[in-house]
Amino acid sequence: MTMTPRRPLALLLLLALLAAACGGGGDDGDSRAGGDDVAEPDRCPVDALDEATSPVPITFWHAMGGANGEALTGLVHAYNASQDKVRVNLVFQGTYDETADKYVTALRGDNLPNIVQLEETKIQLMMDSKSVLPAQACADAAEYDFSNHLPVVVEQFTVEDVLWPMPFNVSNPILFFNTKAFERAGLDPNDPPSTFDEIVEYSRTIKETGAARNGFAIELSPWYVEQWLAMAGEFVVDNENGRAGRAAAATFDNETALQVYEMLNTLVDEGLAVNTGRNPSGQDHLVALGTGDAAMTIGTSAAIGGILAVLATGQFPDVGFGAAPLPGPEGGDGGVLVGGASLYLVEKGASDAEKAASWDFVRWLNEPEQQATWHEGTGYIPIRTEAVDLPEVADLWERQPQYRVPYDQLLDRGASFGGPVIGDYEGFREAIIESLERMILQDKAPAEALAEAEAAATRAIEDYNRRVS
Amino acid sequence: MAAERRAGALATAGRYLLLTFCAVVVVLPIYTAVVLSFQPSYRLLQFPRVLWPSDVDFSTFSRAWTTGNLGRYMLNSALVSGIIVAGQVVTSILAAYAFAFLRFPFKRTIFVLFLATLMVPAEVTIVANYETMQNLGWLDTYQGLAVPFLATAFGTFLLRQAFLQVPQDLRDAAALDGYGHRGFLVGVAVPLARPAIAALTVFSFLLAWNQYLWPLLVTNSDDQRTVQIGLKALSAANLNELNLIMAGTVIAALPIFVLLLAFQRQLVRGLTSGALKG
Repeated sequence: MTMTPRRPLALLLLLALLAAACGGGGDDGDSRAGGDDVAEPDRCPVDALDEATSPVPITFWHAMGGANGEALTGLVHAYNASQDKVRVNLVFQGTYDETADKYVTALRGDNLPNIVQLEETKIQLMMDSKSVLPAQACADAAEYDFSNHLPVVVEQFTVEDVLWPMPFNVSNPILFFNTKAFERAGLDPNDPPSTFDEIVEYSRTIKETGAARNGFAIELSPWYVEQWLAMAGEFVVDNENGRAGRAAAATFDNETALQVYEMLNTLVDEGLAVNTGRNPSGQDHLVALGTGDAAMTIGTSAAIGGILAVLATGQFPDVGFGAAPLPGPEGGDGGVLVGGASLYLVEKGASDAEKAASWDFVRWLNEPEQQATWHEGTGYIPIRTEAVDLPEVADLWERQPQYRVPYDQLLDRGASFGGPVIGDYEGFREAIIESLERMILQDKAPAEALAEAEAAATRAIEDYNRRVS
Repeated sequence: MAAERRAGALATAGRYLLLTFCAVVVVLPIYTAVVLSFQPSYRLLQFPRVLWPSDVDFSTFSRAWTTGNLGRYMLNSALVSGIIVAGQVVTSILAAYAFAFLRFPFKRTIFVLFLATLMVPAEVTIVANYETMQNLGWLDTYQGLAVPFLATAFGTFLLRQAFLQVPQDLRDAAALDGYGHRGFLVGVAVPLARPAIAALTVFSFLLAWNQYLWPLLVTNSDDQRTVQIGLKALSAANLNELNLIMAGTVIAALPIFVLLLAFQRQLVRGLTSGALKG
């Protein structure tokens, strides 16, 4: 069987099932979260575990494959061994999108997990599913203190003063570059590009001097477009990125986005970049740095560990690992958004003991020690300052300073507002990626491609809203 | 004459050249996957790209085997695929026999309805199937994995075409010898349709073995999951583990290779059967 496009399935499962799942409780009009008492502490019986006489089994659906999956398994084993009240059963459910599809499918019956790990793009979907116990309710009931968490992280997962999922694995995009290629091109590795213009300039120099076959490796991902707009302090959807009310339209057809589109277009048109397309493996743009196809790329900070492991083989004398904050629009007053995933506590069908057990586990995962272990094992960013103060993290950063780039970026230049909250986030992103493809592969003018993207994204948002309301 | 012969030889050479080119295009990705599967990971990132093995490292296979939990998953896949193949072959033979040899009202209409199910994409039925499995309490079980796929319109169509080629004389002869429907089916129709049945076997095994979405939806426990889900867990690997993906893919593809080799002769006959009448 060949790959089928994801859209038809996403549409069917997410929209049809969601509409059916939420159809029953449609009496609260425009409210997005099921009333004012959504985070009522009574909803989270944090003490219910005290009465349990035998270990409470809970199921945790996750999307961590490969080494990250092994690191998560390690943490779960450690948790299970550390106490005798809760037993966590870990179940891998494919990619983030597949995990979400599976969750929405399971909403109809009694096969829901107790905890589900989903990407930051699923907030609205999970709110609409009316199956989630907001972490806020538990935090309030347990008088949990978030003052030690990075504020941008908490803000990302908070909508209208309610923290929905518990934060867990956070990443953001950074610039990866080959320091040796920079040197060969006569560029200063300590002064990597920080603006769009500089990306193009540096790419020209690298190409002209032959330091690499191309300057830049492009991955056609809407994530970067969203990030760049946030850096410019712009919302990509209305209602303040969907955080003051349900987003109704896309609003990203602006000067900054045009700069982004034009930069990508210039890089490809002038032959300065290698285009890795949708990059389904998530690795092709990084591979280009190893093979010498390019000297720079941008990608998720979660890739740092893999890159270091490859370089540690000593087989890449021509590659030096440079990492720098994400270059962005000039003079923007915003910052990078929090990417990655978070943990939703499931209320539907869960007993009091299970809710308490789930809260106990996600809270444990947020402890500084676990965050440090997780950071070391995966490269995801520690979400608390106390985790960074631990000696193991200090040691790691001493040895591999690249690890601290995304953390510093989030701390120093985190966005002033949370990322977009959109129901059909997949449809929204598909609109952007298709317009990029039309621009790069079919020579559509950047301004035209951008206008089409906004229109298509708005249609996806409207379609979702119509089905859910 | 000589000129003609030379032209003929040239045409043959050209044809071989074209075929060689096509073969390379088809085989190269498979060849690369096999070669890369036992290379250390850094070799996948080097330029010029790896075309022949150098630093052989077979530990990738054992690591892929354990990381992807392929042992148990392959066993599950084999079991589920086996049930699906058996089911499809049996139901297709019976249905095809009815459509080819029996006379009953609305035969054509029913057959067209049958074929129409081929036009319905799997995505449309998946939600309904899921609900059925849930109501039956079959989520996370072997029957939940296999039962929705026990019948296939494609197989019915394929075998009906094969049965239609059984000459009328043979049917008459069988009738004279006192063969009933069962005797004729088992003794005459099925043996004659062997190539088509072999093709159906391989084809349905391939589809069943490669299933991803359905097993992911209906299973939760490692005890029930199938091999493609294990591959997915591998493919989320880091930059330094790309060789594991290749190794896992090669392992998962092995049963299909074996099956293809075993059925190759039948298969070629099966694919061309019905191409020419007579």
